[in-house]
Amino acid sequence: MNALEFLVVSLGTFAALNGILVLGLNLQFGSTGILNLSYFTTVAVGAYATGVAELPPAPHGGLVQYVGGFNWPFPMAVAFGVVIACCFTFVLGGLAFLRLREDYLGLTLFSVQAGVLLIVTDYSPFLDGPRGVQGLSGPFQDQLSPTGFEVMYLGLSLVFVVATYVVIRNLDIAPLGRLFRAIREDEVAAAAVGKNSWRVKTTAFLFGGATAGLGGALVATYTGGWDPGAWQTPETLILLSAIVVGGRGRPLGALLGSVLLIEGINEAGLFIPTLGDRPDLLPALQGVATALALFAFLWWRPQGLLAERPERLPKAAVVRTVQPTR
Amino acid sequence: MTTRGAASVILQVDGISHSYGGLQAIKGVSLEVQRGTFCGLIGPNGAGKSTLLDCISGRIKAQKGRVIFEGVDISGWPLHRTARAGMVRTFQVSRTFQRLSVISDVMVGVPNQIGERVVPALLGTWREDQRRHLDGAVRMLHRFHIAEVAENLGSALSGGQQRLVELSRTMMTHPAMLLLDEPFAGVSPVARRELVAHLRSLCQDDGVTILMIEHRLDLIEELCNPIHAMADGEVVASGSMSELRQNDRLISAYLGHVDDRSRKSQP
Repeated sequence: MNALEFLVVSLGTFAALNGILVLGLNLQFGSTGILNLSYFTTVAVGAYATGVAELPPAPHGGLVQYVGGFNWPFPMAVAFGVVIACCFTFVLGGLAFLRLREDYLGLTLFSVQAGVLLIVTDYSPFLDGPRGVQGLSGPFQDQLSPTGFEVMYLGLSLVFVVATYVVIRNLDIAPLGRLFRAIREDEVAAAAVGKNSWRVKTTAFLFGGATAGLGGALVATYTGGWDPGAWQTPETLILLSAIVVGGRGRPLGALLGSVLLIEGINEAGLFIPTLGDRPDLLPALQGVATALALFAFLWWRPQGLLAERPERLPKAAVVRTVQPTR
Repeated sequence: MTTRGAASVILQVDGISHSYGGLQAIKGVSLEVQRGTFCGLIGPNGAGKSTLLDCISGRIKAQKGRVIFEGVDISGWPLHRTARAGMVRTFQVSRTFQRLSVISDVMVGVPNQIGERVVPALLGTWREDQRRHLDGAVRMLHRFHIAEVAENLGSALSGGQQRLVELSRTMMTHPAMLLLDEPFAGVSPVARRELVAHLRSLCQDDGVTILMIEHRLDLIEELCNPIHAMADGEVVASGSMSELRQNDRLISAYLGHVDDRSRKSQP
């Protein structure tokens, strides 16, 4: 595999993994209106849980320390990551939605992210602090050549992103999806006709959380490790920008946004050679480009590239509207 | 509902009190609503009408008192539970879903949709059920004469249309009782006549009991009997409009400037 092929395969894998992540956040934020600024906390929960499930127990001596260490195979470790992410999401959302809405909810979730990040970074016996869990491996990584592994992981990521898309789109087009949107627009009005907004929001949050956990598990096993640098708040903001650019509330739009914004601007930069003697220039320019794209869309096309489609009458009903019924 | 007599009272409010911080908005309000009636609730701004409606509907929890609906003590129930029990409310500012189409908006009102549960939503086994409900929703849109805007977004509706969409969504729940908070606010004079006819039809044809807050006394007089008048967090008088016009305490609180003219015109 030459350098270009490697770049394409690697970008494709990242595109698929980011696609999984953006689908989950779009369900929470785009469809249901939950401004989840702690989304990457859930991603991290999935990644760390998968890591400590896959790794052997931490060696004695205290140089490397983490909880767990179950030595489980890849599928079980990923499943464990998703389950733990679901538990985390349920507790967080279930409590937060009891009393908080809109801006206050957003602020609370933001502080959750900050708090959890501080604890994990500064309390080393939990998840090895700043170093994080390292030395993770994907399935068959020891049996495949590096090239073979890259191609296999691309395929695996694509399967997972398609599966995630199917699940989330099914929720989205069902009456449950209509309910998500109604809650996003006005949860008091929805409650006034008998809809339990807590249940609806928790459902959306839970599916988004499971998706985040899956994405985290796959990213960690692909890149071989997970540390506090991987889940800072800007990561969530970039995903939110991708949703705004692609089309809030429409799964396909979110996917498009993540490919354009994250792959086009951010991941691709990893493969551009460092500019002169300023290694910090490129990431800074990427941040500027992301922000400009966000502003441009909010100003000129706030509905995003693929706008959410309002529900239409079925064809048969349109015919009937011509004939008055009374 | 053991006897006919007990069943004729659909809503009983018993000593409801609520205060916001130091301000006591309602002070031990009690009232009864008979099944099938169209009741009015009037009073000057700040009299506690909306707070009373909030307490009855469960939007806020009353600090004292009981609410009995259809013989069941529903005190402290949240909004969605009272709605499921058959008492549905609307709001002073109409609440349509701005970025949903009207047909979506009205469909949200349908109770117990199969596709609102997770497993059927994932499996896609909700389409037959939806077809049935959509038929009902389209009929409802025809009834309220808003079928032509069925695919418009909520943000593109006139004030009168928003009221009708809200009412359609509400009626999709098949309520036994409606609590309407100023349903004529933001409605043009022409649309107002239409809304009067719709509301009267809901009460007379569908047998829905209605409790309505409204500031326009001509509309209250036209539609409602009995009428409960509130002032300073208390119900100060109840009865028909002509009875209320004889009530000195109410006149001083609320009707002061119109009483001369109306008294002369009514022997």
